[in-house]
Order: sequence, then structure tokens, then C-alpha cells
Amino acid sequence: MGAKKKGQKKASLKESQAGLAFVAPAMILLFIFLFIPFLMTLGYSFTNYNILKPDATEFVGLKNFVKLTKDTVFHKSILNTFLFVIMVVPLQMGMGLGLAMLINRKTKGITAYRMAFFAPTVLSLVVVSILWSFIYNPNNGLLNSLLGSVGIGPFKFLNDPHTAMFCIVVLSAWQGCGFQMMVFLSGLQDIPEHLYEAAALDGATRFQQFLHITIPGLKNITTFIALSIVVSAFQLIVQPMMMTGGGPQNSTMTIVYMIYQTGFKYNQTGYGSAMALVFTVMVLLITILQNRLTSAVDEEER
Amino acid sequence: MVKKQTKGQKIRAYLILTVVALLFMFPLVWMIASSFKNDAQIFGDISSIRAFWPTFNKEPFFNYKSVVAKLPLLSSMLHSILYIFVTITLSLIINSMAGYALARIRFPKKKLIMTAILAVMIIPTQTVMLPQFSIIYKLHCTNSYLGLILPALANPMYIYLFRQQFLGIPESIEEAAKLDGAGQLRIFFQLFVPLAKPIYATVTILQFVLMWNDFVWPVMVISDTKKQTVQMALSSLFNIKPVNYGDVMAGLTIVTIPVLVLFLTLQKYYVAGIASTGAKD
Amino acid sequence: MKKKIISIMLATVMTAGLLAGCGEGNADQAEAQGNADQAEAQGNVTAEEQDAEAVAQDAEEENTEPSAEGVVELDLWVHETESAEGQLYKKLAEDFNNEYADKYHVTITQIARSGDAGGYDDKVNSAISNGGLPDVFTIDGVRVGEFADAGAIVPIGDYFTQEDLADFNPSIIQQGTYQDQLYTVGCFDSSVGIFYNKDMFEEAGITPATKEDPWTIEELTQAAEKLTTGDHYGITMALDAKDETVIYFFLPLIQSQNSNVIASDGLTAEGYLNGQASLNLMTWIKDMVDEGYASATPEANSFELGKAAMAVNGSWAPAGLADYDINWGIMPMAKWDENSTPASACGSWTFGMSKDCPEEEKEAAAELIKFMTSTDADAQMYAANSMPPARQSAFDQTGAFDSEPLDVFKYQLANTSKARPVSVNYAILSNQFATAMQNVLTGMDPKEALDEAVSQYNFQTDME
Repeated sequence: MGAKKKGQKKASLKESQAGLAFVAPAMILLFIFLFIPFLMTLGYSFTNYNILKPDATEFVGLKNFVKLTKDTVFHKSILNTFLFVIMVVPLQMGMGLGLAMLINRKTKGITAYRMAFFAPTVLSLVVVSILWSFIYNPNNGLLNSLLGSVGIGPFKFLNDPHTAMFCIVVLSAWQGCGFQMMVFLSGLQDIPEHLYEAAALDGATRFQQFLHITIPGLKNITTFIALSIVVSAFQLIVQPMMMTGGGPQNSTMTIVYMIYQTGFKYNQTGYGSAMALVFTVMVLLITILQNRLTSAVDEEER
Repeated sequence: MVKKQTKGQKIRAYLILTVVALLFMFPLVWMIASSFKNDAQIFGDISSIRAFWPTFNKEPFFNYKSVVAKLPLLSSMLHSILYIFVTITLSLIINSMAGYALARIRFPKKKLIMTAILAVMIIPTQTVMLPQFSIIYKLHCTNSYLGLILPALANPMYIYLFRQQFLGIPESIEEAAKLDGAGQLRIFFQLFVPLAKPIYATVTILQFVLMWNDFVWPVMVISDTKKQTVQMALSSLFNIKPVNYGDVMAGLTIVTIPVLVLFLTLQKYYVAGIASTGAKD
Repeated sequence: MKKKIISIMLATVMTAGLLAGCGEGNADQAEAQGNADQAEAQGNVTAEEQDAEAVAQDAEEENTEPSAEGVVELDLWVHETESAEGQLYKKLAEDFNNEYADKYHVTITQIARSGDAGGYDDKVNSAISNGGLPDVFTIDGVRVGEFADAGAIVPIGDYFTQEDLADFNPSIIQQGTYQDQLYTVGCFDSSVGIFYNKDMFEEAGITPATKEDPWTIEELTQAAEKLTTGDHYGITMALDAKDETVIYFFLPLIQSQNSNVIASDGLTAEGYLNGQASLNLMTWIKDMVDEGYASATPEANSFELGKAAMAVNGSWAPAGLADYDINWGIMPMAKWDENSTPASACGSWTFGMSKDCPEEEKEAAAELIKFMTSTDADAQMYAANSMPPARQSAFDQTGAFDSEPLDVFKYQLANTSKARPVSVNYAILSNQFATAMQNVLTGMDPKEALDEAVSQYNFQTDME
């Protein structure tokens, strides 16, 4: 592909300058507003920084990290977060792609359908969480009466440690997939229609077209979508905060929720920063791994 | 997609679309239906299908009247639209240029920069909020929209999205322009930007929704109630016990309108893509 | 097209300019302002508008500033914006400026918050770290311990006369006192009672308790049993709450057993949070749910909708009941048994003086706090948000609490109310208490749940 050809030539000075100038504004802003703050967090994690007592801050070495190794709830939250990521990523991605393919057509009224599919995404998560708490209510929630009418249930949903996280997965995928739908949709636009036409003439079925034209055509965008869902899934906080408070029995406690609670509600910024550091390193490793894997696949395909 | 659809297929397609649409629409419908009810009606209906059907009282818009009287919703919506518009305009330029360079221009340390972008992408906002505020404070940008705009301009996620999009555009597109001796800026703006319209539309919508619903950061930066953003204005509806859900639903319905309007305006860019590649019905 | 590109480039350059302007602010603020202005002058209309707005803002602020020499300038932060309560704070600040026109002047800043005070709290916290804390600010009563321990607020007891302090509800003083020093007072209070459906009581032949003679837990349980039918629960107790509500509603039933969830040192939870009194409470709640008298996952507004005969709820509830078609009354919070003393919930937001208030302004700041918590302010607050006053004199002035059903709250606040613990670890304590309750309601053994709560509390507060 193009990238390979480019690699063979040497970048001209003019091109180098242009490239650097193009990335410079973004780099400077990211450096100031994300990287420096992250370095500060890194610094806090070796102190006993209490948000209400900034003057009493002292260097405590690895104390926070030692404490983390004994923090059973933190360990649980890591497990929960991974569980959430593993469940939500394929679900949300599949739903996003499915919706995108459903609405990638020019029939009458498609605008209304697009808007309908996107509706949960424009509402704030807070509102969506409140509504779903009503829906999930074991006594009179819509879901139990719906399932009850076909003879299933009743379930306790958010009130059962075994099902609570799953309920949040469903809600999150449902709420979030509108974004993925939009991105997939813009990716679908880039697949030339004549490819489908040619395939259809060759007698390829819909499924074969999907497998051999749609999927490869979406490759670049899919890498992005997978990564974006993974990243946002790792940062799960609002839904458990609004709906379960991390319970029952810590079954929906997530890492970022703990970081928030420790750093902002319990004022233990130093300890919360240590959690943030561990979290970031963990996700970074996974991202690198994922990147290695996907680029390995890329190589193979070339 | 390509074959001419029979009538039966068409009906089936609409049926599927409608069922799925209902599955995704219901909170919006609930919100709007509830905005015409008082609390007794909202909670009385909650466990039945009536929850999605408005009940019109003597004065159907009473919740709207009360919420508009209570909150400076319109002015705060205007503030939000203004600073988000500035942010998105600049953010589209900054992020897409970076994404373009990372995809199509050869320059030194590119790999390192790409890795750095992937790395900062995963930093959860909650963990850097406090130091971020310290920086805004030291830059004397508190109580100014600049404090809301600056941190939101560069976004690793969008850079990455643009990069992926530009990677997929065939090399042949720029060859001719390069032979003509066109500079990178011209190639970018004349050739690549128009080809990536759907992605620009997507990022606009993504960023608008995120910033429109943002609450904690604006509260920290903006102190002056005259400058408050839409979620700041809305928040007082939730604070006072007992929460009046009729007011809440009316308020939420009002603030959802701009997002829907934006979506409707931008979604035509998705259709344009199909048309330009010569698709037919 | 070329023009377009140039204009976009210009915009980018200007962003850099803006940023540079902001950045140099650190070294030289004046110069930075100049740079930024310059960048904006080049044609960034929106930025210009903002600037103009900001200037207009400044001018306006200057206009309101009195010209007289020797006027002490004060800053006040409050946690409410557009609500009736927020409007009243604004009005009170104006009244203060009028009353003390030649001596003091206060500038009020109203800060939004979400339901759990996120936003406002975060802003106060960051002001403590970065500077910029106002002279006086509002504090949720339960956070007084944290702020006082951190030295973020200073004692104010000396500015009040003994007589004046005696007028406050005893629990208001209790809530604002940390290590024998008074740090904050409020201009309203709150209380929790048992709301009951009069028609259902009549049907079941039950006589409600009077304010002076609350039911014991046993009497409450028996009534709940009688009142539970296929149609409705005996009582609803907000058992789905996972937040501060849990300790606020249920701590009185532990205090009524002459115990607490934390030792009087405000630190030790062992033997308290998992003590006999807490265990009794958790076991009782579990039984109520197991017997079907109360729901662990109550429907929203079930009392209002006639799906529960009684409801544990706060003094803010009557305002919402007006929408519903039921005949209701209020009974006092239950006491544990015949031998125990009645206890009831209380507490509110309060005013505190910050550590950053300069010595020479403290007198003025104290005057402001007194003004905001005066009998008059209390009475106006009742009119604005129907919360019970924090002073006995204000109760007398409003008169609303002299007759049924609200008289229960007046009686409780004067006689039985007990503040939640004033502890530096309150947030962790409250959270662990709520978590233990949820764990019990989802099947954990009460003893095990409470022991777990204590071990978590000890771990998180480094008290192991």
C-alpha cells in the first residue's frame, strides 16, 4: 500500500517541515493539557497528597503502591472492569455495525430511522441511567413485566451480584453504539458501490459480499472503533455510579469509579493517583499488545 | 442493496427498521411524553405502556412554562452553543491536520508521535481533572470560556480517527497534485478534506454531544452565573428535594433539541457519500 | 478556495497566539493579556465577543462596588444557583450590602452542583489546593469534620453570644462542632419522620403514634405487618438508596440504642459500625424485607401512589405530596424499644469561614454568617424551600410548624434530633454503612456485612 512506497523514499526537508507543522498545534495542546497533568498525577502517586491539606503533602515512596497490593476492592474492580470490557466490546461493535448496515440505504424516511438509532446517544448518560433504573426495577419494571408475559423471570437485575454487571453491559452497549454506528456509516460510504455490483454479477450472496467487500473495506475504521470502545469501556464510571453505587457486593465497582471515589470523595488524592497510574500502565500495555496484534495482521495481509 | 427490491422485501426492511428504531427510541419518547405530565402521572404510568404516551392536562405545556421561568435555559444554551462551536471549528482543523500528517506525510519521529498519541488517549479524564484545573488556573483562564475551549481542542481519539480515514484514501488522488507542485496545505484542504466529509460530520456530532453534556469541568472553570453553560443551568432541577420530574423532563427535552437539529443538519453528509460514488436506489 | 485556506491558516495561527498569550500569563500577566488581546483583535470574533463580555462584566462589578473608603470587601460562595434557595441567597447578599452599606460589601458566587454535590465540592477542593478560597462558603453539614480537620475553615463560636447560640436547634450546633470548637451554622435544618396513609390506617384499625410518644420498632413492625396487603407494602424505606440517604435515615435507630457507628473520638469504627446496635438494625431491616413488609427495591414514589401504607421520608417530602391524591399524616421516627431514647435525623448545609479570610476581615465575615443565619433568613428560607428553620425563634416566626402535620418536625428538632458523626472520615464511614446495607439486602449475612464494612473502613483510613 501507499505507506510502504513512501517508506522507501526519503522525506524531503520541505515535507518534514510540513509534517511537523501539521502535528505541532495538536502536540503542543496535548502536551499541556494531558501529558503534563498526567506527569503531575504520576508525581502525586508517591505522596500522601490529601486534597484538603495540600500543605501537609509528603513524599511517601512506594507506600501507596504497597497499599494497592492489599486493596481487595481494587483487585475486584480490576476484574470487574476487564469483565465489562470483554463483554461490551464485541456487543457494542456488532450492534454499531449492524445498525450502520441497516441504515446505509437511500429509502424514504431513512433520516428518521437514523435519528431514532442515534437517540440514546444524544441523551446524557445520567438521564439514561435514571430511566434504566426504572426499567430494571424488579418489582414493577418494564423489563420484568415484558419477560413475565412470555413466562420468564422475574429477575432481580441490578440487585443480584451475578447479573448486575451484565445489566450494565447491555445498557452501555445500547447507549453507546450510536457513536460506532456513525463511524461505521462514514466508513461504509467509502466502499465503492461498483464492488458490490461486480460481486453481485459474479453471483456472490449477500453474506459473501459482506465477508469479502464490507469487512475488508472497513478495516481501517474497525481498528479505530475497536480501540475507541476499549478505551471508553475501561473508563466506565457513570452507569455504576448512578445505578448501583458499585454494588451489590462490589460486583459493579470499576477502576475509574474507585479512582474518583478515593481521589475526590475521600480526598486521598495521593492514593487515588497511584490507582490511576497502575490503571494507565495496564491499559497502555493492552493497547500496545492490541496494536501489535492488529499490525501483525496488517503485515500478513500485505 | 444492489438488486432491485421487491415490494415484500421493502416491507420487511421497513418492519425491521421500525422494530429496531422502537428499541432505541423509547427513552426519548418517554422523556417527551413525561414532559407533559405531572409527577403523579409520570410515576403512576411508569410500569405500563402508558409511560410512552403523553397525557395532556388542562394546560399541556405547564412543565415547559415552569422550567423556562425557573432557569435561564435559553441564554445558557446560547453560551454553550457559542463556545462549543468555536471549539469544534478549531478542533476539526487541528485534529484532522495532525491525523493527515500522521497518515500521509513523511517526517521524522512520526512513529514516536503516533505512540505518544495512543498513550495519552487512554488517560481517563477523571484522573487528570485536578492537575488540568491547576494548569488552567495558572494560565489565568478560569471563569473564561477559554478555560473550556483550550483543553478540548486536541483530542487523541479524533486524531487517530482522522488518521485511519486518511490512510484509506488511495495514493493516486494526490499524485497528480504533487506533480503540479502543490504544497501539502493545498493537497490537504483541496483534495483530502472533501473526501473525508462524513468523518468531519461524525467528529462534529461526537464532540458536540460530549461537550453539551459535560458538567463538572464547566462548573470548575466558570464561576460567573451569567456565563453558565446548559448543564450548569439544568443541574438545579436535580438538586432540590423532592425532584420535580415533570420539570426535569421538560428541561431535558428543550436541551435535547439543538443536538437533534445538529444531527439532522449533518446527517445529509452521509447520504452525499453514497450519491458521489454513483449509487442508485 | 485559496481564500478559504488562508483564513483557516490564520485561525490556526491565532489559536497558537491565544495559547501563547495564556501561557506567558504565568511569567507576566499583563503582557500575556496584551498578546491575547492582540490575537483576538486579529479577527477571532467569538473570542472578541467573550472579551467584550468579560469587560462588561468587570465594569458591572465595579459599578456595584461602593465608592466609600474603608468598606470591607467579602467573597461568598454558595452551592445553589437558580433554585428558590439559590435566589434567596442572592437576595440575602443584597440585603446584607444594603444594611451594611458603609461598612461591608459581599460579592456572592453561585456554583452549580450535581445531586451529590459534585461540581461545587470539586471547585471548593481545587480552590483549597490552588488558592482562591472565598472568605465565607457553604459546606454540607456532614463535611464539617473534614474541613475543620484540614484547617480549611476556622472556629466562629466567639463571634456569637451564648444567648444567640442557644436559639439554634441543638443539633445544628452539634453538627457544626469539631473537637469542642464551633465551625459552622446553617439557616435551615431537616428532619425525618414516618409518613402514613390515613385511609389505610383507618381501614386496618391502627392509631398513629403522637409526636411525644413514638412507636418502638416492635410496634412499627406489627403495624407494617397489619398494613401489608396484596396491593401494597406496609412501609417503604428508600432501601434502594446507595448514598448518604442510608445513614441519614437509619442512624437514628442506632443512636436510639445509645450507640453510634463510630466511637466518640470520631475515628474508631471497630465495635461501633459492627457493634450490637448496628447488627440489631441490619437484622431488623433484613427481617422486614424477608417478611415482605417492605421492599428492598421499592418502586419510585410508592407511598405517594398508594403502594405503601407508610414511608420513611424527610421534611422536604410534603412539597411533592401535593400532586397526589392521598390523605396523609406524619408520625415521629420510631425508637428502638421501651427503654431507649427517641432519636431523629437532622442536618443541612451550613456557612463556614475559610482559612484564607484575612484577620482584619474576620469580624466582617462573622457578621455575614450571622446575617445569613438570622431568624429572618431562616423564616425566608422556609418560605423559599419549605425546610424547617435552624432556630427556635424562626419556628415561632413562621408558625407553620405549630400545627399538624409539620409539628412533628419542630418537636423532633427541639427534643430528639441527633447529628451524624462529625468525623474526618465521615465520607468513608457513610459509604461503608450504605454498602453494608446493600450487601445485607442482596443476601449477605448482617454480621458478615458489618465486619466487612469495618475492615474496609480500617483499610481505607490506614487504621489497621
